Amino acid sequence: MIQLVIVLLGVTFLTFFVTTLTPSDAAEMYYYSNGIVPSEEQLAQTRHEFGLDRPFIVRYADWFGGVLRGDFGESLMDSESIMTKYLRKLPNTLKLTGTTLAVVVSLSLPLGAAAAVFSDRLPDNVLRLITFLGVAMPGFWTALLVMYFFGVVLRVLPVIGTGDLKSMAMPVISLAIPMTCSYTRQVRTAVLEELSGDYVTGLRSRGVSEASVIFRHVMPNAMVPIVNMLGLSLGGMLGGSTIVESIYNWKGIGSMVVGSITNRDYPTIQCYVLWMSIIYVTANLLVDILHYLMDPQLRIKELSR
Amino acid sequence: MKDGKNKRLSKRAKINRRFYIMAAVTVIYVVLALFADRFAPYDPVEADPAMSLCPPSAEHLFGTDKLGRDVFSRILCGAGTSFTMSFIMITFVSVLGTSIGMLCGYFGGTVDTVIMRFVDILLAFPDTVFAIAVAGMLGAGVINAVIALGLLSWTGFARMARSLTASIRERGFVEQARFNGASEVRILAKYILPNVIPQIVVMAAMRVGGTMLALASLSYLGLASQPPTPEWGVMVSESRAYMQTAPWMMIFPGLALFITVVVFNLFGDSIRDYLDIKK
Repeated sequence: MIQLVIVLLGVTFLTFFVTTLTPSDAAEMYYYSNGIVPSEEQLAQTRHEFGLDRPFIVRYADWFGGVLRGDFGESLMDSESIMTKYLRKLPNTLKLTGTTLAVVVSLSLPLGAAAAVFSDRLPDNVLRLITFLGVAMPGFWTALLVMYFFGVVLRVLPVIGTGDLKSMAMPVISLAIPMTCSYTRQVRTAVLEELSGDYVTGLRSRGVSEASVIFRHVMPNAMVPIVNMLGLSLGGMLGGSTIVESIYNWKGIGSMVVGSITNRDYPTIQCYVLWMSIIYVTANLLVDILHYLMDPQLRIKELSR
Repeated sequence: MKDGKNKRLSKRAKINRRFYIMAAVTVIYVVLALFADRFAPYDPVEADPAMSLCPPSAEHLFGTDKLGRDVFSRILCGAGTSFTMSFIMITFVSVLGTSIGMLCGYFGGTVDTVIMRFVDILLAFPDTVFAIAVAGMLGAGVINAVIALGLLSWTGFARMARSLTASIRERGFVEQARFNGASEVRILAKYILPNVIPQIVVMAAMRVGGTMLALASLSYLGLASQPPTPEWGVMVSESRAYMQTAPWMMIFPGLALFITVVVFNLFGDSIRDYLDIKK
């Protein structure tokens, strides 16, 4: 919980701070985007309206105070409450990232385990090559290739999303490819580490079948580091989802924020950082809890304290 | 005994050979990127409406785009910008991060605790999310995008330099130097820095590909390089509308970026093995 607050404070503070570094501000952009060349008085007036004439620290404290009361401010462009805007878009982002996560886990667990069991043999070498290439692929390019392949060459999926299951396929595939590749490698490492344990030699020498060694003993033990690594991989997925959302016009937080960037809609961008940190930290918190539930040693340590 | 030694030697030889090959490939790549305008068969920004959307041919290897510009020439010239920007940023960020990390690791204390706590927060945060937000706050532009990426990426260097310094300063030769009356500055520069540098170099080399990728992603979103600059992200972004009629506009710039990342990742790996540094 404390960590959550620290992350939110630190990250939002830093993003807020960079606004002071930029020469052109939201007030100017407001006029230019409407095709008006503003006079100095007009600019000063708008800056005052937007609250840009106050010192940075005051603005930050004010903003953060608002957030604590559940008031995220208004969009500079259409004066809509940012809270309503985000609540409208958030389910879409969660739907996309949640489904991707399910796909990634269900693919990379068996693949990574297989790579570890057959390490340095054919399946491992093939997987190593594929995952190495998959990790180096630019996310936006992967997304466009997926779109080209399924939408233009095969013509089996709609290019523009409508929100139903079918239009979700391509964004999910695009997001899942790089993440599955990097996660498969991590699962492989974790399982290999576990396989080299003394207890594995012990089990084998007692004549326990290889299948039983892997499924009953190695995998349950490997799950602890695997779950931990999942927490670390989540961040990459959130960034990727922003790019994928804007490519597929997926009506989520990511595509909205990319749209508001052209207009320098500061409150909306600021809120994006906040939401993404909340999702990230919450997901990590869940991973920690899961980790705790799965590792009996941790629970015993806690009790004996 | 003898067999084992031979095997080890040959493994070492393999690592050396891989390093020399990867270094040569990387040098060729960089030279090609930096002098791209001399190699490019066409002007990367000059439009030729008569040649609009030509498919790949002997004349235009990778075809042409909507304005009739040669995609191959634009890709070549795009390499220079991406590489230079990433290189400058990585250099700056690694020097800064290492200095902060070394000072923290050497002197310790409250300042160290506070800075490192801050570093840990940033280190864990999703970097693309942060870069998009910061680039958005600063406004579109290459320099702003580089700043946005730099704001997070120094933390990795600081973390590593700090932990290395903290362990090196406990070693005998540092104590010895102190007994001999060496000043703090001299200890840091002459005894600690040389032991920190190899790891930092490896880290920096491994980051170049990723940074080029991140910059291109920001350009794709319209946050870094702007048209008509020949930049891979910009090119892929421009290609979207012509996906059905001119897929080569999308495939080749992305492929160039992909190959670049692969080359730099392999190069980073090979330096790490060559200098014999654990992950």
